[in-house]
Amino acid sequence: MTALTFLIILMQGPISDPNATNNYLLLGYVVMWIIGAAYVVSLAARQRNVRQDIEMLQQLLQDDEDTAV
Amino acid sequence: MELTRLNRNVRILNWAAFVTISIALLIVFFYAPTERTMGNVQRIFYFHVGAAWVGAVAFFVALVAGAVYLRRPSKKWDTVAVASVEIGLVFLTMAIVAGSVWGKPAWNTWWNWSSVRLTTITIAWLTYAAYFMLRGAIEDEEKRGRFAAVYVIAAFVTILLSYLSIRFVNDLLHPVVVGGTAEALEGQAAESLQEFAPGVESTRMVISLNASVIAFSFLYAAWMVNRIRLQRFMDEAANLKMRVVARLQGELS
Amino acid sequence: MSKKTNKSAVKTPRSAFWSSVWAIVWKDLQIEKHTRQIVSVMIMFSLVTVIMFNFALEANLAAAREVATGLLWATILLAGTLGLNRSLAIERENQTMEAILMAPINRSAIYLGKVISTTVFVLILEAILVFIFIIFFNKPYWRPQVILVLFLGTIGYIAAGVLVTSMTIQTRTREVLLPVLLLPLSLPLVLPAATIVSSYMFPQLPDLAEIQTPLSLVLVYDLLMLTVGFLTYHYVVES
Repeated sequence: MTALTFLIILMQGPISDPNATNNYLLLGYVVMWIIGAAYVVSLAARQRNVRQDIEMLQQLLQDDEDTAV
Repeated sequence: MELTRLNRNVRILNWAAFVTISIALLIVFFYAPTERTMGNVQRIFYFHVGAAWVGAVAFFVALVAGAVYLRRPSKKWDTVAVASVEIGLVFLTMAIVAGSVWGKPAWNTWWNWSSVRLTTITIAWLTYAAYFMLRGAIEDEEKRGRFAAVYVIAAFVTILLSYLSIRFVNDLLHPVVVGGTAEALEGQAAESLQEFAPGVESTRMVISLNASVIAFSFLYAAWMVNRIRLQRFMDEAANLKMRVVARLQGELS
Repeated sequence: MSKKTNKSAVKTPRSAFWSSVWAIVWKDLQIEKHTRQIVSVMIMFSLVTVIMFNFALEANLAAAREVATGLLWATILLAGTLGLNRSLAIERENQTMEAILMAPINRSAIYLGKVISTTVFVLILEAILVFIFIIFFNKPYWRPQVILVLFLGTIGYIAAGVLVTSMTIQTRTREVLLPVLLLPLSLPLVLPAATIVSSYMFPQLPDLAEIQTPLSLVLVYDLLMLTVGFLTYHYVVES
């Protein structure tokens, strides 16, 4: 009986607990998506800056035209 | 202008990307089979491959845009190239980092220079990062587009060689997955690198992989559209700047 | 007189192409023979580099011998950037490039000519380096397979190098930018090449199966880079 139990345990395969590596799984995904999110944030920030620049420049040109007239 | 119309389509695309990524995440975490030798951390593989594959596609798109630009020099092709390289670089970064984290429990080290694949992918990353240094060093817009296009064509050779070496170099550490067919998966099982029960589990793996690739493709499309739109704004700002400078110089003289 | 015009009238486009190539190679070799600026600079730099590396590794001779092949390739790469810069800067300084471009010479012929002449210069450097390395590190770099791989690797490196250098000398930062662009671009060639050379450093020769993959990677790189350079050089030199 004990021999059979041993045999069954031995036949389980290389890893008994697939959840042992869950920390790495989480870390991997978190880091990956932090990078993705960082890019999205950078896109949004650049967009905002450019919009502000355009407004300011258009304002400058407008003022200039007004004073010229 | 066409800004409002762009806004609506862009928003749809953004939502589509978000939805497909979420679905893919669910699939990878719950539907994909559990691997036997290393446990759940193997699930990183799906997004790792998805990012790497779509990244390579992004660089290929850049190559095509570059080639077309050389034939027909128009700003829009240069914009497509810049956007594609930028996004491709982000995807490649994600793939490298994800691969490194996956590698830690699998090979017991964060990095492994003797892995030919890791090394060549890093080289590809450096090559495309240098693309932006080249662009930064050229002031003339036309020359910048031309040189950038030539460089992006030459740089794709590094991508080709990376993927060729992954395919053919006998690197026990980095498993070969091309296309994700059942035979390739069973081949891996034979190498004891990734082990699944044959049959249903292999199919589930294939489906999960495809889901990831589709999700990243949507993400690529969404990011491309946004990046190109950003570039248009930046060009307009540069244009306005020139006019302001010209106006000021006119006033001074 | 009439004989001469007859000859040029019969010239096919292909022979005109190749005569342009050899004309450029000949010009570069002649200039180097008289000024000796390219090869000597590369040799001096390489000697200093090798001595520097030796100092760094002196404490551990075994380590030095192990990394010798990597050292060899690193030295070739770095010295190569000097040679490439010089070779193309000469054209720019004397404005010979503009003169060449004004003539109806196929741009790809200029590219090939430049690749061949610069390869010759770097091969001369490598001959000296191999000699030094055999003596310093006591390793069989004289093996014909090693020489072959060095040759093939150099071709690919210079093929990429001429293309990239022609771009960087036209930028604001010039020489500074070249290593940043060229070194990552050439690593997919150098890594397999170094692997092959390393495997020949042992008394027992490796069998073909071991080296066929890295060898094919080297050949693929050479072909691809030469093709890319050939097709796109026109866009790099036009003004």
